[in-house]
Amino acid sequence: MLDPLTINTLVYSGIAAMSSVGLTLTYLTTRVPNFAHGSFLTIGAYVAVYWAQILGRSPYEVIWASALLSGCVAVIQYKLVLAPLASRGSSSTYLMIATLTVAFFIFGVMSIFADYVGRVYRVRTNYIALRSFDFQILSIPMVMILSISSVVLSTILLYIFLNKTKLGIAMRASIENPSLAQVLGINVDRMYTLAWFISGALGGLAGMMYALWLPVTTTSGDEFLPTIFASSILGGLSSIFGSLAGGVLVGMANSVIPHMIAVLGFTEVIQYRPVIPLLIMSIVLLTLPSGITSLRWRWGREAK
Amino acid sequence: MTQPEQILRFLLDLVPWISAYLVISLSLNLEYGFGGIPNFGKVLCVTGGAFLVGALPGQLIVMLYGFGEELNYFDNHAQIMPKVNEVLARDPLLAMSLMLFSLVAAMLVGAGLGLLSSIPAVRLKEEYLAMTLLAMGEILILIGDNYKNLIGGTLGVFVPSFFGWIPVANRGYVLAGFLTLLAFLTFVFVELLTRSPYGRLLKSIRDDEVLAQSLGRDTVSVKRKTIIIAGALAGLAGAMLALNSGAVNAKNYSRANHTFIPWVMVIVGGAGNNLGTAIGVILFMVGSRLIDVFKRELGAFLPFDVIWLTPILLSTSLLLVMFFRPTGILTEKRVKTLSSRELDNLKESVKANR
Repeated sequence: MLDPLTINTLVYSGIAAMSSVGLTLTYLTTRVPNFAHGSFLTIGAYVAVYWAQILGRSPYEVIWASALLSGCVAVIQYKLVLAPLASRGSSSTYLMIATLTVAFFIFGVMSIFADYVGRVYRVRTNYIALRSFDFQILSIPMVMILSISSVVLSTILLYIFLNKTKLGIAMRASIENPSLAQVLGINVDRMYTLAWFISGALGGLAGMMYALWLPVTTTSGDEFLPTIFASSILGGLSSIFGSLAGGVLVGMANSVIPHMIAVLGFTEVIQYRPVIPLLIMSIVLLTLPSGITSLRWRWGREAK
Repeated sequence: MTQPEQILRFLLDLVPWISAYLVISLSLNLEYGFGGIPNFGKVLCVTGGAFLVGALPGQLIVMLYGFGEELNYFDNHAQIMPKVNEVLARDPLLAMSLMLFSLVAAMLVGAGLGLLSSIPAVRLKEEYLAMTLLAMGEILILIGDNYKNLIGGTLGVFVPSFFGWIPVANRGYVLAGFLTLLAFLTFVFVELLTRSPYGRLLKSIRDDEVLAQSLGRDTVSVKRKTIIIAGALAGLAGAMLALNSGAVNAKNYSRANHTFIPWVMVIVGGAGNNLGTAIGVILFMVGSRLIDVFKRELGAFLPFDVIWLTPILLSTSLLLVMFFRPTGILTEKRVKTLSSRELDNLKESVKANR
């Protein structure tokens, strides 16, 4: 038997890690934080919500669809908005505004969908958690197993992909030195597109786990954004494995710290939980600006 | 209802919105358009100002007049508020001075929050700064929503009606006129500020910080001052929003409405150009209010709530502007410099006068 705190911690860490690794990956390609990254979570979450609410079937059947749809949206965002703007020489502030705009656009579209589905199929589409659709294995909720296994698997797979496969090495080359990679005949743009797809797909997966654990609204992903940022910054913002570790740590802090404070008797403090990512961000930026990765290993820090 | 009356009512609703958003957007234009500081946490100072107007004046009246002191201001809000309004309606002078005091206090709160956000702003690289400010922006909303004794928690509070002494029929006009005056004064202030040597220094820091430093300018302190001034203006804007709606509820303040929309207005109108910003504000406020007015008529054709069209229209138009006219509707004015001939003439005349 596991106590709720452990389960909550592990699920939350998984969501944070899965989403922050995607944010870091896209940051490496375009050099701006993607403010629309939370929207990938919202999209992934709503795929699961609609599937479960309309058809009444298990959200696990559409994990692939959550990942695929978010991945495609990410590719569209990169191809249609960021890459053209960057090639016109827009400043990084402009690119950031563009990502914020995409987030706002996706918010509008998701709200329209939620309204439409709610009216046509007469189901709740806001503030809805799919915990009742989750099942248990040996009295462990499946979402926790999914969360742990996706973190472990994506760490292993990303490691193999980036270090052992030709494609992954080409992607690393495009990230670290685009012009040199181009000279060597690597299609940098295609590599970046792939990176955006992976980022969106991981975001969609995180969103699907989010829907299984926490109530979803059309702003859930945007509300989760500070946590994603904190995880990535803790990981150094340019290290993929750093951000995985950062996500796990921030996820832990996010559920363990409020619990500890509550144990001390300040139960009302729990409401202020969203402050924690900001605190982590400020502490990291003040004391360890290049994140936990600067402590031990160097991979990925060369690129500035 | 007759047609002109409808139009008048529309304008009466529109003008306060334009005024408040003009002040927010001008403060963002000062930061981003002239100073190059990407403030993605605009909502922080706006909420600061709004919360102050929601929290302070009413409780001040209760303290001054001593009624209902034994009651909690927020728990017994419906009971206390009519008494506060009665006091203010009886005494126009008190009402007006209290309102001005609240506005100044809101600006101070905004400046204080600006000072807070300037701590990371002068230290961090652009992307880190944007992420930090975005995360900071929502903190105050969160506190206001959860901590009952600030602005009543989830229920919110009413703002005392400062114009209670004016006949009901004219109240709307007076409020709209007053807010317009504030917006106009802000516009003049920002315009003068950006034309002053300080404004030119700010622009030079935006264009090349190292150059400004090499010429002996303390760029950190200039940036900090700018963020504080912009924070004060955003606090004023928050107070204006609170005065206009007559109530303050943390739920009504958000990243989308008070950070993103001002950014859209500034960029579409033309960053670094105050008149352009004003055009952007008017354009978008008219658009979004029109959607609001024709909500019911449009809703008949659409299977969803029409308000969701606003984000889609706003973001699409911003993206279009970014692609096809990155400088915005009005481009930034070039700093007028004298030609060498004019300079020579000036030198001659100075010499002649000696």
